[in-house]
Amino acid sequence: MPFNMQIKKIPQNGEDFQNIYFNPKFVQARKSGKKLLSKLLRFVFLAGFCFAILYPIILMVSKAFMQRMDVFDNTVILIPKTFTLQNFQIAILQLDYWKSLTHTLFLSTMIMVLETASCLLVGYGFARFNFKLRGLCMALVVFTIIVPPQLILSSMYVQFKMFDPLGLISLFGGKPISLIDTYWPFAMLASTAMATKNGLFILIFTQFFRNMPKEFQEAAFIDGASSFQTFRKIMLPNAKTAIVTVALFGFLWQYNDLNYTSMFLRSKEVFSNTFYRLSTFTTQVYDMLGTNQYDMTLDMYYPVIRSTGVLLILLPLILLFLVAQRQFVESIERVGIVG
Amino acid sequence: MKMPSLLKKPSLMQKRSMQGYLYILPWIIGFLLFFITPMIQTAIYSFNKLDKVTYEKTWMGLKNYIHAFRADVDFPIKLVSSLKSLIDVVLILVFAYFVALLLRKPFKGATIVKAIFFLTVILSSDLFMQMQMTSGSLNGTQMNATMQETQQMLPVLQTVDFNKYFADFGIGGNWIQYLNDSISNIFNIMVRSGIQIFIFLAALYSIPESMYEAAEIEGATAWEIFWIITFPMTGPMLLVNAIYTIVDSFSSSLNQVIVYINDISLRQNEIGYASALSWIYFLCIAVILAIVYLMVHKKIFYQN
Repeated sequence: MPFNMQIKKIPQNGEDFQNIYFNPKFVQARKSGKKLLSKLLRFVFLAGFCFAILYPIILMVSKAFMQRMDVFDNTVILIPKTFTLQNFQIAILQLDYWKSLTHTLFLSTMIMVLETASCLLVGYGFARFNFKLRGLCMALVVFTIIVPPQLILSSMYVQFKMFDPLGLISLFGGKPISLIDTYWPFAMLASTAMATKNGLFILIFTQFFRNMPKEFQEAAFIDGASSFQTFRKIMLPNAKTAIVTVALFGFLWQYNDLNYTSMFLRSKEVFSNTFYRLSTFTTQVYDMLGTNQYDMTLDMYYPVIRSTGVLLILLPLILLFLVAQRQFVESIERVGIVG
Repeated sequence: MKMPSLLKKPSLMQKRSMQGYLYILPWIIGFLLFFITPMIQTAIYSFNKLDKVTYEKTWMGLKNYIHAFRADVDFPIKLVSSLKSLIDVVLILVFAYFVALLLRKPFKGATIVKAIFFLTVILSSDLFMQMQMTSGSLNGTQMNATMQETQQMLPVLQTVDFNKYFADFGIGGNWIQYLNDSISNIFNIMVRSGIQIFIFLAALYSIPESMYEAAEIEGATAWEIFWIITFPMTGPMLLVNAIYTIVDSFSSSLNQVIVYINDISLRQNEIGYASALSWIYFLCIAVILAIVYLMVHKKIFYQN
C-alpha cells in the first residue's frame, strides 16, 4: 500500500510532513480509522451497559425454573438441571396472583384513563387560552411536582378515612364515610389531575399543544366551530403521540406505585400489598415442599421464590413493553421536551 | 334612559379567558381540595398530637419539631444520609449524558439498545426496587453472588485492594471510598437513569445539523464541537434533568427518610409527628432545589 510506505518515511521538515499529512489518501485512512475506533468504543460501552441491565433479569429467569436442590448445587450455572414450574406455583399461591393481578390491572387502567383525560383538558387549557392567573397556575403545577407525596398523604388519609365533603353529610345527620380500601380516592385524585406525577403530564400536554400551529384553531373558529368542537375534532386527533406517552407512563407508574396504594388500599389484594407475603410461607406451601418452617435449607430457597414473584409481577409490564416498545421509545423522544 | 347592563355580552377575549378557566377547572378543584387543603392540614397536624383512633388534636406547639432533632435518634442520621445521596444525582446525569451521546448517531441495532435502556424505566420503579430491598433478590444476594463469581474468575481482583492502593499514593481516603462505593453501585445508577437518557437524547436530536457542518468546515475537532455546540445547546435540558432527578430521588418510596416517615404514619399511626417530619423534609428539598436552580440557571445558554 503506497500510503503505508509514506508513513514509514519519517518527515524531516515541515513541508514534507504537510505533504504526507494532507495527502488525500492519508486523510481518508485517518478518517476511516477514527470512525472504526469510535464504532468499536461505542459497541463495547453499549454492549457492557446492556449486559449489566439484562444480566439480573436473566439470572432471575434461570433461577425461577430451577428445582430446590439446583439452587444449592454449585455446578449448576444459569441452566437448571431439571426444569420445574414449582417455584411459579408457590409464588402464585403466595401472591394470590390472579386476584391481585385483576385488582391491580383494573386500578391502573381506571387511573390511566381518568388522569389522561383530565391532564389533556388542563394541558390544552394552559396552552391555548390566555387568562389572568395562567402564569400563577403554571407555577403551582410545577410546585405540585416538587412536593413529596408524604407531605399531603397523611392528612389525605384522615380526610378520606372520615370523608365528609364540606360538612354536607353530617349536616344531614349522617356519619362521615370511610373511603379507605375503596377505589374512590384514586378515582377522585385521577379525575382532578392530582394522582401520581400528574403535574408532569400536564406539562407534557401543555408543551405539546403549544407547538401546534395556531392556524388550525383560527380556521376552525372562522368555520364556526365552538371551542370544544375545535378541541375534539382538530386537536385530539393530532395529539395521539402525547396521549399515548402519557397513558403508557400513567399506567406504568400507577402499576408500580407504592405511596398512594399503601395509604389508601391497605387490605385489598394489590401487588403493592401482597408482595410482602412472599417472605413468609403458608402451611400449604410447606406441605407442598414436604418440609416445615424450621428447615434451615429453606433460607437459601426463600430468595428464589421472591425473585420468581417479582418476575410474575413484572410479567404484564414486560408484555406491555414488548407490544408498545416502539411507541414508548419514539414517543418519549418526540414529546420528551418536559420543559 | 338606558341603564348600562350588567349582563353585557362578554367580549371575545373575555369569553376565551372564561373558557380557559373552564378547561383547567378539574385541576383547580383538585389543587384546592387534594393539594392545598391537605398541605395546610399537615401543617396544623405538625403542631399537634393526634389521637390514634379518633384523630382528635391536642396542641403541642413546637414539641414535634424539637423532638425530631433532640430526642429522635434515627431521623437526623437518615436525613443527612439521604442528603448525601445527592452526589448520586451527578453520577446519574453524567452517565445519562454519556449514553445519550453514544446513542445519538443512528447505527444498526439502535432500536434494540434503546429498548433495553427503556427497560430500566420499568426496573427503576418503586415497586420493583422495593421488592429488591425487602427480598434482597437482586441487589443483595444475586449481585453479591455475581461479584463472587467474577472474583473467582479473576483472582487479580481479589488481591488488589483499591483502597489500600490509592492510600499508598496518599490520595484522600474519603473520595476513594466514595468512588469505590459508586462503582459497586453502578447497577443502581444505571437503572435510575432511564428517563434522563431519553430526555437528553431528545435534546441532542433538536440541535440543528447545520451547526455541526459549519463547525466542521471551520476545522473544529470533535472535542471542541462538543464543548462549543453540543453542551451549551443541551444546557436547559441539563437543568430540567437535574431537577427531575433530584425530585425523583427524594420522593421515591425507597428513600430512607420516606420509609421512616411512612413507618411512623402507617405502622405507629403517629400522624402529628409524621407531619412534622415531612415538613422538615420538604423544606430541605425546597432549599436544595432553589440552590441548584440559582447556581445552574445563570450559566445556561437559552436560545430564545
